[in-house]
Amino acid sequence: MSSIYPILLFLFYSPVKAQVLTSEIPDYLLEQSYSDLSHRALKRACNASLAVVSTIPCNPNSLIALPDKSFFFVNVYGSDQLEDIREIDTLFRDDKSVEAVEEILREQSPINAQASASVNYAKENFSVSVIPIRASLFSFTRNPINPQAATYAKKDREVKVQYNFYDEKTSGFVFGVNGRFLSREYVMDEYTLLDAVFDIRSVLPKKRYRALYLEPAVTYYFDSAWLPRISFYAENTVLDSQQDEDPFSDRPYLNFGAALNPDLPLGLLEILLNYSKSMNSDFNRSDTLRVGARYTMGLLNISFGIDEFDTSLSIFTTLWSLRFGILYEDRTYENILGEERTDESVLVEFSYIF
Amino acid sequence: MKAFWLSFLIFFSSASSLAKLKDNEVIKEYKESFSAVRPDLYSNIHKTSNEYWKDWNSFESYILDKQDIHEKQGLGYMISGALMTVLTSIGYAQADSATQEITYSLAQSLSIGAIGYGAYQYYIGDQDRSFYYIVNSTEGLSSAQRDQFVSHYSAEKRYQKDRLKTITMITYGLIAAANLINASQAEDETTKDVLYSLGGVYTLAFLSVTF
Repeated sequence: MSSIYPILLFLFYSPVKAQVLTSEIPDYLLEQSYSDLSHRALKRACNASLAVVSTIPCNPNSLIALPDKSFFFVNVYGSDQLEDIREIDTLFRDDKSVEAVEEILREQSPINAQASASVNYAKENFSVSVIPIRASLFSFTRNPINPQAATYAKKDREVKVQYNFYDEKTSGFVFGVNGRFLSREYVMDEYTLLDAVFDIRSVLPKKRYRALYLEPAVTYYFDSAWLPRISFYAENTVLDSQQDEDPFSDRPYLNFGAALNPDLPLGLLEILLNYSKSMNSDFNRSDTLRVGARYTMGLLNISFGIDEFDTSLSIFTTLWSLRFGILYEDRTYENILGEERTDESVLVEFSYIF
Repeated sequence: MKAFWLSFLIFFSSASSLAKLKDNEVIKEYKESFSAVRPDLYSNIHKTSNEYWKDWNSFESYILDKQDIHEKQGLGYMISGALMTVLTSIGYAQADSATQEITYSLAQSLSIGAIGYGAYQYYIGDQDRSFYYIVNSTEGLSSAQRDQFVSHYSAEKRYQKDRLKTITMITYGLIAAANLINASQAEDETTKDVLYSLGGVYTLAFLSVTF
C-alpha cells in the first residue's frame, strides 16, 4: 500500500511552494557571529569583559588587557558532529545533487551545525581578524511519509579590525571602534524530494549579502582594586549593506555593560552584566539582560553566561601555544505554534598561538 | 530624565578616574597571564631591566620578584591541571561523539602536562634563576665581578634573543614559501585551497615575528 504514495504525490505535485516551515527556524541563529567559543559562552555579557589568551574580544576596549607586544594566533571551532558540517558545503555547490538534498530530508532529528576558522593578529590597542569561513546550518523535517524540510544555511567571510585609544588625558575613558566587512552566501528554503527531482536548481537558491559595520564603544575604568568598569558598545551597526536582505542578518543592538574583578588569592575572576537593547524589536530576543562570569587560573579558563533564553558554559585548557576547549549551549525558543522548544549543542575549539 | 543625567554626571565627576590604566593590578595580572603562553610577550617586573641589567642588585631584585610570580603561576597550573585532569576524565567517559572524545583526550593530556609545567615553574623557574643561584652561591666574588657577570649575561641574552628572532623569521618564511609554491603547482582544487591557507597562515606568522 505504501508504494502507492510516491505515485500519488507525483500526480498531485505542485511546484508552487509555501514558506510556512521556514518561519519555525529559531531566531537564536542571529547570534552566531562569535569568533571564539569563550566569548560565545558569554554572548553579550562579553561587552565589559577583558580579553584573555587566544580570543578576540567583542568590544575593542577589552583589548587593553592584552600584552603591548603583538601576537598572532589561529582559531578553529565547530560542532562535534563533523558529518553535519560537511552537509553545509554540499548545499552551496553550484552542481548540488538530488542525493545531497535527499540526505538532509532523511534526517529525522533537526540538524544544527556550525564551523568557523580565523587567523588573528592582536595587541593591546589593535587587532585584525580574517575569517575565511564561518558556516552554519539549521534544518528540520516534518511529515515522515512525504518528508518536507526547512533549511537555513550560511557561509560567511569576514575581515574585522579593532582599535582603541586612551591616555592620561582621557582619565579612565577608553574609546574604541570595530570595523567589519561581512560577505555572506546563504540559502533558506522549504522543499520536498519531489521539488528536488523536478528542478534541483529551484531548491535552496543561493543568495548573497554584503555589509560593512562600524561599531563604536566607550568604556570607563574606575581606579579601584577590583577594576569596576562600565561600558557602552553599539553592535551590528550597519554602515552599508548590499544585495539580498538576509532574514537572519545580524540585528543592531545597543549594549550597556558593567563588570568587576573581585580580588582572589589565586586566579582571575570576572563578574559581568549586560543589558542589550535591540534597535529592531520584531523578534523574541529584543531586549535581554545577561549575566556572565569568567574564571582563569593557570591553564584553566571557564566562561559562563545565562539569560532568559540561553545558558552556556565553556571550559578551556591552555598550555604553551596550544588551546583546546568545549562549549555547551542550551537554548529555549518558541516556535510559530507557541510551543516552547529547547536546543542543545556542543562545539569544540582548537587554537594555536605563534 | 534630567535628574538621571544630572546624577550620572555627578557620579562620574566624583569618581576617581584611572589615570594610568596599565598600572592597575588587575590589568597587570591579565597581561602577565600571557607570559605562561609566550614568555616573551609580557613581563610586568622591572620592564626595562628585563632587557639589560646594569648591576647585580637590580638583577637580584628582578629574580626574586620573578620567582614569586613563577611560584604563584606554578601553583595555579598544578591546581588547575589536577582539577582539569579530573574534569576531562569525567567528560571523556560521558562523551557521545568521536570529536568530543578527541577533544577531551587532548585536553586531558594538556592538563597532565600542566601539572608538570606548574611544578617546573615552582621549583626550577627559568635560566635566569639558575644563573642567579650559581653566581650567588659562588664564594669569593666581589661586587664588581658580580656586576661584570650580570653585564656579560645580559649581553649574551640579547644576542640569543636577536638570533632566535632571525631563525624563527627564516623558518616561518621558508615554510610559507614552500606551501605557496606547492599551492601554485597543485592541480586539485582542495589541495590548492589547503596549501594556500597554510601558506597564508605562515606568511602572517612570519610578518608577526618580523614586525
